[in-house]
Amino acid sequence: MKCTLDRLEEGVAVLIPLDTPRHRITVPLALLPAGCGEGDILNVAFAKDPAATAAAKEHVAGVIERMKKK
Amino acid sequence: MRSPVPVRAVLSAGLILLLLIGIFFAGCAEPGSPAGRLHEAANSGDLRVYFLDVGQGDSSLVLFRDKVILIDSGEVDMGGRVVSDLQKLGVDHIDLLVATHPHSDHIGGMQDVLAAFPVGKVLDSGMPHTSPLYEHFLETVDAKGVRYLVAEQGQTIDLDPSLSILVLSPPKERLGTDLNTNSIVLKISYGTISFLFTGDAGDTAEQALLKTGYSPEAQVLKVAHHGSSDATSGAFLARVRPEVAVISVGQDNPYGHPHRETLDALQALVPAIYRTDQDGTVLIRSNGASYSVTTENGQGNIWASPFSPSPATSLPTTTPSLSPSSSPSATATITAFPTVPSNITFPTLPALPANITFPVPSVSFPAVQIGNASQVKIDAVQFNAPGDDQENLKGEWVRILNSGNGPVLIAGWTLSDATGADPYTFPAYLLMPGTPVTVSTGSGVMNDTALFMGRTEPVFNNSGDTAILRDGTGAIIDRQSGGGSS
Repeated sequence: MKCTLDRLEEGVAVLIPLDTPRHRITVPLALLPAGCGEGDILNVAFAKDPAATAAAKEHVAGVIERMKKK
Repeated sequence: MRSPVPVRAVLSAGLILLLLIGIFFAGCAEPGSPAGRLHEAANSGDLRVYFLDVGQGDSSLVLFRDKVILIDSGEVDMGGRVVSDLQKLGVDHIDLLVATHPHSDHIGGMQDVLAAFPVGKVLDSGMPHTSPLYEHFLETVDAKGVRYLVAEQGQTIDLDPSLSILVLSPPKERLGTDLNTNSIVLKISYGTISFLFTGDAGDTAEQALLKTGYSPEAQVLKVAHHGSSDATSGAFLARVRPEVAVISVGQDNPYGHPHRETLDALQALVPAIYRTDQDGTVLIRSNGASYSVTTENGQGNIWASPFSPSPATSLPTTTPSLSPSSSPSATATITAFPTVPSNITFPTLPALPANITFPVPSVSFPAVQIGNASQVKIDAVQFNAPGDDQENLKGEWVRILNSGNGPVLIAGWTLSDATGADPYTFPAYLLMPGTPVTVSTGSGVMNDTALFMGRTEPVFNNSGDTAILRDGTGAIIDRQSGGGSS
């Protein structure tokens, strides 16, 4: 997904997806690559992490089980 | 009691005049009298400026006779609201559509606006930006064959002979590449009344503008960049000398707008401050010589008068600063708010009524800095006087403290018990910061730390009562309960 960095407001970057410009994504500027400025077009990708998801669920399930036994 | 300090609350001739202002404001708040009704004459002016409540963004509508100007259109999800507001007012076309700069909170609603209304001209900053919203806006303007103008300092737009529209910024040689900095700054004048629309122009643009001969002086300022601290410098405010400032800002926005520093600067220098997140849409009407302010969340109905183009009347043509002024900081002679010199600040909201009109007498005042009424508090009360209350009326008192930075004129303010009956009305008294004044029930000679109601009976109930301090409009400034000394 490509986004325009529409503006920087007090350390927050406002991104507008080129394909769905009615949406806005706000991201702390610190999470963006160094040197980003207004008008830059960024490649934004979200990738699913099945292993991390499973591990997190397992961890939380374990916490619940422990609490049930108390 | 605090130790006495030298007398500073001097009742001068100037203060007597200031008292008149207090009386004026007090008159605005007659119980049961709709605020709008008091000023119908001023409201009949043919210039109307709406600072639309579009959340975190900007959109201002100017209606003048049969002409319509829209400056910015809010965020993309506010376009529908802007269109609805305009339609509610009976607007069926736009003569001039201004895009101060290409950020989405200013041009996001343009597609909806262009789809709903025929547009005569578009005035744009002409700063290239990669935003798809801006790109689509330009494409639509092009596709519709709307005349496209790029703003440049000194440029004027002629819509009506009585209305001056002057571009103050950006200059022809742009101020770098920053989009906010190169916002279009417009000064719109009718008669002696001017409005300054600043987009998101920040300190850099302000400093550059102040170096030109163009005068930014205006009675009404649309505060730049939603009240961000990167704009609205003290130096700029001192040159604009606004009497009314409007901040277009969204509630609980993630950027912390408006910033504390900006609010402090405004409160120190501007008599009246309005915020769209608190007041809703703000309407200012003018006949070219005076103006009135009405807010959506106040008592007046700002949508009550539909836009109906009318033939031009014979009001005087303004003399705008179409060329660099030889004296940019020249003192205004007669303005819509001449009773308030530039260095006096009137109480800001909520002390001001939702609908006020400023008359046009030509008087001058001594240099007196007035602070923020919201900083005035009831510091302490003593309802149960030592000994017999009847014999010791001076022992029953309410102490009032101004914890702000500037003096506050409390002429016309009132102090009452919980019932509000038979309140004491303050004389022309300047409450200095950090110096409390004790208002005693009995009689005595007033000085800089003591006032006397001159009553022959106790006012407050020993077993429990509440002292209520109100400003000249009747708005409660503070209250404090007590059942004895506190």
